[in-house]
Amino acid sequence: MKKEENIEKKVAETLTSIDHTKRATANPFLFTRIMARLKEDQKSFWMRSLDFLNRPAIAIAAVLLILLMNSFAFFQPTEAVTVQEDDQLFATEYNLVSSTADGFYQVNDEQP
Amino acid sequence: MNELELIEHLKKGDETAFKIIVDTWKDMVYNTSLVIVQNAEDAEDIAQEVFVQVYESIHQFKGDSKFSTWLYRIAITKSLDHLRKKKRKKRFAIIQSLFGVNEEEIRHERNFQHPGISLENKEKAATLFRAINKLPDNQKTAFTLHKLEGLSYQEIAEIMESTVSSVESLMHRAKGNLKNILTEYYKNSDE
Repeated sequence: MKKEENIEKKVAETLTSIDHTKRATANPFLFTRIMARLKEDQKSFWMRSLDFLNRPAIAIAAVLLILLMNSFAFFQPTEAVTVQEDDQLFATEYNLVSSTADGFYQVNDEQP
Repeated sequence: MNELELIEHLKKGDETAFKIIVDTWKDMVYNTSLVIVQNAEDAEDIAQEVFVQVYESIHQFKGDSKFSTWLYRIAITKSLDHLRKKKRKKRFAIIQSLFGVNEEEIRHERNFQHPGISLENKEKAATLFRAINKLPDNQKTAFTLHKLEGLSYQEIAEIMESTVSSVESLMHRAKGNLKNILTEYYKNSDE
């Protein structure tokens, strides 16, 4: 019985423990910090983009990505185009196609 | 400059008016955030956010209510949002701890000491603040505004956009819940 009374008393005291509490005071430099925050928010889109790119994690990731793309392009197997195919293409483009070697000489021997 | 003039000047982007506004209401905003989030650093961050929002959205203030009422609303909303985010983080930390990561986050049990409480009441007040933390948001808001900001039920009703009778009811339930939590606490601590 006495124990319960004791608990009730403690509860009542605890409930009134915050009565007449003085108001907590804010940091005297709050205004300066707010203004700094406002200026930070007002930075232009490009400045914010630059800030974003300047972050070490982003910059390292970008460099790694460029290196990866370069190495991919460098080590990619290219199709070997034969010299013969090149010659044929050249001949077709300039109407130099002839079935015999004579034709070639005929073309070259023509007088102006 | 009176309140209305200050607001009009701020709407025109006057920095001096903004400084006067911050200096006039900074303690009120800080104390309100502090008693809700129960952490000095977080409360300062929230106070900064509140005034940044005031600066950016002063055009939305129509003067239907008192300026301080509008400020209280912003401070309370931001503080409660902050607590919700923190709870989500804590839940995530608990999940992480199951895998043996981030145990520090959970062990971080705060024992909040309000700077305005007298020395002889510090221990009991810390117990009461822990109990207040367990109340639902609306009961916590009404109780702290009444007890720590010294606002009347009428003023709290205006801030919470409610009626005086519903604030009375919130206060009655808050006191009942606190009594139960504290009784349980002292029973267990005496055993």
